Amino acid sequence: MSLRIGALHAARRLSEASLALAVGLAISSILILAYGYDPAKALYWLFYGGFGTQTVFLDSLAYATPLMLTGAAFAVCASAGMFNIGVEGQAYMGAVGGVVFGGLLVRYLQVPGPLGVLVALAGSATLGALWAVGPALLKVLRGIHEVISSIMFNWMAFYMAMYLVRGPIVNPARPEMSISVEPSARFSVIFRGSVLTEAIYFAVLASVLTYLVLKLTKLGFEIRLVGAGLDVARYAGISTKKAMVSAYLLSGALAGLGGGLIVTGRPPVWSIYGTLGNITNVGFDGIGVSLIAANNPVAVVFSSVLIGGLWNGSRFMEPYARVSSELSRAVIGLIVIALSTPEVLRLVRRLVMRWKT
Amino acid sequence: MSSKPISPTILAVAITAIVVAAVTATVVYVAVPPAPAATVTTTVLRTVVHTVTVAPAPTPTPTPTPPKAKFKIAVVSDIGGRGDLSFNDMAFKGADEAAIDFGVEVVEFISKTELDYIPNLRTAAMDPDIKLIVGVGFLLSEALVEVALEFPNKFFAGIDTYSQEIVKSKHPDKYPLPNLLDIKYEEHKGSALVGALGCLLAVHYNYPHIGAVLGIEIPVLWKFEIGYKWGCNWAIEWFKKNFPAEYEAKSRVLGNILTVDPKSRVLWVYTGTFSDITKGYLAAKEMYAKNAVAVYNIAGPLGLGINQAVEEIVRPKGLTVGPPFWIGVDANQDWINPGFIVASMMKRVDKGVYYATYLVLVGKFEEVVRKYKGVLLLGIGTEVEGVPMEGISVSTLADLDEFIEMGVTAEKILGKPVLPMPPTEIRRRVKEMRDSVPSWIWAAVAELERLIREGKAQVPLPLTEDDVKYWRGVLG
Repeated sequence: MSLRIGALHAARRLSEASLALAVGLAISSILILAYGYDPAKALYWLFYGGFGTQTVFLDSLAYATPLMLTGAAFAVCASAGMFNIGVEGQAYMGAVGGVVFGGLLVRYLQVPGPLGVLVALAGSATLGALWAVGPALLKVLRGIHEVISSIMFNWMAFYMAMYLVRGPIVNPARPEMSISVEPSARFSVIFRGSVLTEAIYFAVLASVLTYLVLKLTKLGFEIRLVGAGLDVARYAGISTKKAMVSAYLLSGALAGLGGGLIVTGRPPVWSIYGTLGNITNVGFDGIGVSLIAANNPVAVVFSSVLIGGLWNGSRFMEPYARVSSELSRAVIGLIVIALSTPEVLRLVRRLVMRWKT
Repeated sequence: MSSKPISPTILAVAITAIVVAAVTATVVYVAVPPAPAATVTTTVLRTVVHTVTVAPAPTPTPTPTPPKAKFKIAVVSDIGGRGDLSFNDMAFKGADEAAIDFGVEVVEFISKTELDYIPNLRTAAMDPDIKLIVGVGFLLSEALVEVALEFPNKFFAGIDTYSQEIVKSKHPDKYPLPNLLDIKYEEHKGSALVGALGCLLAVHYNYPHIGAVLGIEIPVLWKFEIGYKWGCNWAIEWFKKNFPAEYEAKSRVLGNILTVDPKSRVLWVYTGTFSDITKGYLAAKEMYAKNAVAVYNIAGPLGLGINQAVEEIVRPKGLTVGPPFWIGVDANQDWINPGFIVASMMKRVDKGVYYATYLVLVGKFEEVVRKYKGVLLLGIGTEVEGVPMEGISVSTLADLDEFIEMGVTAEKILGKPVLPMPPTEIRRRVKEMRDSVPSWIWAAVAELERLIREGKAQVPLPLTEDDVKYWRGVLG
């Protein structure tokens, strides 16, 4: 692709995104207005709270950090033409893996300093990938659609994680949460006065590496070829099953890391709450983030910051614009849907065209 | 009732549906002649322009400057925020009362997930007008410590938190942190009162048991469990002493609680959940099947499951008043199913917020922290610095109205009916039920309350696993 076409391409994507954002904001305004609140004030606080000052922006980055990985996870699968709804469950298992490795193993082996973090995250990636094995094999061996199986695996992960957090890995002194990861397995806070930790460096690095794997390696090429069409890939003489399973496992590992970054990279508890409240939706938000980024792992970094910023900013809508918190949730949902619409449109259009031929 | 607003979720879904429909139409239009992406943009644009003309374009507005109050207080909620009819609503109620009485202004921060705790506390602390920040619920304990250390010039209070214990173990040199107050409650005393009430109902109506459905076995719940059992035993002793003849007579009635082994008077179970209402229903159903006259809800929302179990018994019989009953917790829950909740053990979270504001207002916050090692224990007959600060009581008809009011507000927020019937009807039914319970039973509960207040009755307070084992050995 020549540079000029590339620039045009980027410009089109950007204009699409800003248009979608405008639509999302407009619909949100109607919704806010319908409930008798002031949309200008509500949206002002939403964006001011997410991006208005340095302090809030750092927190927004903290909200964005795990989304970068669950977003990249979804993007990898999407490159292979698969829809990994299972990122949510894989993230739960990743968080559990982080607690088991970062809490129990690191303590048992007395792993020092930065090495502890790696041990914890190794646990996250392993468990996340393991949780992706089931849907991947069902897909390639039995042709069971990954959306169906991974939704089931999400629920299994939910109940499994809940059982583990309340039973085997419960914190005996604080039964409302799991044991914490050891101090040596925690990312440190970058600036005092914010919840942002060095986990963000890891997340950005992982997203960029994922992009490079997809673009530069043989495996990445095969994955993308499978995404372009199974017949094409078979004609090119590659093992489509192997590529699909690899993509799914890579995706699971990344999603697991997303869950792991919550327990290793977010003060103050460094553990999983018994409600799973601090790890729920990190996967589903990742799906939105990836769609907004047109399933490009590098663009995922930026769309994560946007969505993380919205979640952070929505905290300001209730106290300062007096908008009920349920409504602020709906507004974010609308914006995410609007922003992911261009990519969803493209997917649908591709499907329609494939179906017509 | 007037027309109810549609819930935001439904409206959001509706609007989304419209958008999706519009988008699908566009897709079909685009997909028929395979056109470049630019067409998508323009077509979408057409729909957009139409939408935008309806709504005013959002423009940033400067921060409004509200009329100056003396100072502001912030309430940082646990998950759920307003409308939960429990902890969060109670805390906001206390803040609203402080606003009326002390002229402070209340700023509400809602935590959508546990990840919001620290950012919310910090945002509140950074607001220059906010002097006191109240965190609602023990899950905020760690977050409160972190932020309170960072903002030594702001006051922090936590409802049910163990923040000072965390300070003690992690920063022993700073214990007790002078700007941090854990507000706790003497649940064991209140539970003893409703235990006495339950057991006397069993004596009167010739039932063999009372029940308790508990949540996850955390130390706080031990206080409820042991207090409840102790109260039951106290009541039976009281009955024996004050009504010896009736005691003899009732002891011969088959199936009366007086004929039951003292250690199995109270049926109790830890369900292991604070959210699975079905488990509450199943546990309560089993207890009512064993003829429990009343079941004490010690698991928050599981009370709705207990209520369901009661409904299944009373509806086919067409009863309008128990037995069987259940016993409410935390808030005054008597209105949920009037006639069948004999009373509630009220833990006045609202008072906690109110007193914390008062202490800041009179400048005694730090003094109280120093004096009580950072823990304000509210109970029956509590007095702090010569000011009565009670936080535990058994619900009365008088305080029913406040809580019906809370239900009315929740209806407005949630956009769906919360109250089972009009307020006047609730009041009438609750009164009818209270009148149907013999006055000597209420008198006994009042007497126990007086004895506790005067320090003449000591309700056991289990704090460790050994304590609770010991008391289970004694009381069953």
